[in-house]
Amino acid sequence: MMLKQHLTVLAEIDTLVGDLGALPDAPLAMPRQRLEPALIDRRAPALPPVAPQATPGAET
Amino acid sequence: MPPGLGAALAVARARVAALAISVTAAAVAFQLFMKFGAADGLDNLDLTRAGLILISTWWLAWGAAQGLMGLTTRAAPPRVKAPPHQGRAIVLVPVYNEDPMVTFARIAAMEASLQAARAARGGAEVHFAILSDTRNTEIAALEQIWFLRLLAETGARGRIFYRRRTDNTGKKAGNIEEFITRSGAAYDYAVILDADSLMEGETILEMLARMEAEPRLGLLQTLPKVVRAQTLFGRAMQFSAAFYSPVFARGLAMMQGRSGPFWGHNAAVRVRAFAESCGLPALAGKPPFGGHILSHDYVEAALLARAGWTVRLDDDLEGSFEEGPENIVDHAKRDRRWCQGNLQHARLLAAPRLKLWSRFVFVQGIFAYVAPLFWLGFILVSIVATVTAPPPDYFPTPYWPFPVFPADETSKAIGLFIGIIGLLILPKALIAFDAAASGRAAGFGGGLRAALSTLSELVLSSITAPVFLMYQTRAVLQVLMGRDGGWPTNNRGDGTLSLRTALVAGRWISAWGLAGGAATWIWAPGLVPWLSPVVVPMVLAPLILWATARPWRGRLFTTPFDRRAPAIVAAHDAVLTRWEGLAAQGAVLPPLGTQTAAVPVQQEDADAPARGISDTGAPGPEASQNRHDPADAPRPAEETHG
Repeated sequence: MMLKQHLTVLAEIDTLVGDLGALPDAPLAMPRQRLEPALIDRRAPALPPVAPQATPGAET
Repeated sequence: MPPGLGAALAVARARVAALAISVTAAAVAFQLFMKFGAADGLDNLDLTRAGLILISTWWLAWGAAQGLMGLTTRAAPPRVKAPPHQGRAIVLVPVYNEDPMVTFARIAAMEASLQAARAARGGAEVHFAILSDTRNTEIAALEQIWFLRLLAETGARGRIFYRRRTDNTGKKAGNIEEFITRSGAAYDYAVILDADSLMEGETILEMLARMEAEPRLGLLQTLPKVVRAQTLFGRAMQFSAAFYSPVFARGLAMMQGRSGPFWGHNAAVRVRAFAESCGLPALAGKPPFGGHILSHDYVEAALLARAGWTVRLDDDLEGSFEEGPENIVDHAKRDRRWCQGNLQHARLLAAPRLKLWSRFVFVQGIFAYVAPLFWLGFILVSIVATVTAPPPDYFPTPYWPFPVFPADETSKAIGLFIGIIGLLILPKALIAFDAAASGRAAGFGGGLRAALSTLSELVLSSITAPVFLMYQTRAVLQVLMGRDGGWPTNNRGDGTLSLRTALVAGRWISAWGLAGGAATWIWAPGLVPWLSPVVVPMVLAPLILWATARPWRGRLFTTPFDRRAPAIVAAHDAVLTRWEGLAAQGAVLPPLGTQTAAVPVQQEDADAPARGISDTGAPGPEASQNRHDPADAPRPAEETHG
């Protein structure tokens, strides 16, 4: 019986604190900042070799 | 001269002066050691030692330069008095497994102080939010009960809030972030405190007024003074914080420019600036170097500066207090956390677009913890150098009958030793002299007692330095080996240590001291006199831990707070005494549903035992008879805000 009373009171306190202590509902965005330098992604495939460009005007 | 250019030039001058002083001192020490080492021929060990001396002396001289610069000016308030703030403001009190009675009594005292200050000087209303990260469910239940007591006594419904996070992601930084993402738009300014912070209402209002007067000011930091110290160690720390720190902080303020410090508490932030600049990412990888940023405050200051906001330390602001660790063991525990946080900043040194000074602040923070390793390295290499030194060659020239004695360079080693000790002593000695000359020493018991306190503090810090050296070395090595220190709860008891606790905490240091002493005695007996100031305190570490944690009733280490407790501290004491009485009677819980107006305490006491909570904080059985009618429930606080 005592335990039940205790639990009832605690639940009541919890509800009351939830009501009285509730913070204002006024969201503000907090965007994540970039802190670590961008790393070179070594897993990216190497670029294909660039084909040599024909020199304009040079006739073969 | 364009506005702001003069201030920028002054900052540049201060930085160049400090750099010149420290680099010169380091170069002189390096040269002296090279001459000493060259007496019997330079080898690699000599060069290593000279390098270690160079770095260590630079670090010492940099600190000394800061103190010396702080002596050249006095802290002063802004020339133009800022009018009372009109913006919306809130005081944030993050808590984590703290004693709610003591913590919430601080809020009651600050709330009353704020009301009185607002009545005197005006200014908009200031709210409080208790941001609980408490994991212990018993303490969490007590927090709720003491919150109701706080509301009942202050009548501050809708002005004091309480919320507990279901998980404490990001620790304290995450706690503040959760508040901002949920409620940040309701406020223009937030004063961030620690659970043990106390600030006068007048100081809070002055900070808010200064924030409002300078629209680019993103963060305003005060210099908190340590109060309530009881033990020898605590009193010495309290004396240092009150006597030396303002001067060192002045030196820091001269050099920081608009990229000032944030120490995580007793500071005001502009909420919009903080929200848009200080969203901290979790770093890739696991703790200690990855994961959530542990020492978030330095990073937040750097991010605000990166975004163009001014971060400033106003060291003229009084009425800002905190409590410090009362013994070396608690100090070392806190230091372990700070060490991990500062070393983690190594990951951020190359962060994009940070101000150069912010990067330098990270380096300083890292150096504060690795510098002891340089000294330790110097000692170890010196022992090795002595052991491996070749015997002197008195006949270096073949067939020359007369001996050639090597030049005696001992005087250079002694000169170097005196110079390094001088770097430690000089700033503190000059601060004592300046305090006596300016009359500031009166608050510390007069010029003579302040000088004796300074001398005693120097002796005490010399004795305890090797113990700190070992704790810091262990902390750095643990972090480098990848061990996460976690987030231990702060101890806020009376701070005394039993001999047994001291023995357990310090015996490993004794063992290292004995081993090091024996090795020196056997292999390098000539170094014994030089190393005894390090080895003897190490051997006696448990005794030092125990003795410095004893209550201190002596007249040394007097501070202005001993003569007259600051008003806010006295107010906190008064609330706490009353609440301890309520707790003893089991009468903490006010009648449920009466939290809308202040409840006279005497009336509460008359029949309190019948409905209060027990000594252990559990609600009394009769408490349930105080039915709370939901129809009478005060409106949720959300309705009062947009």
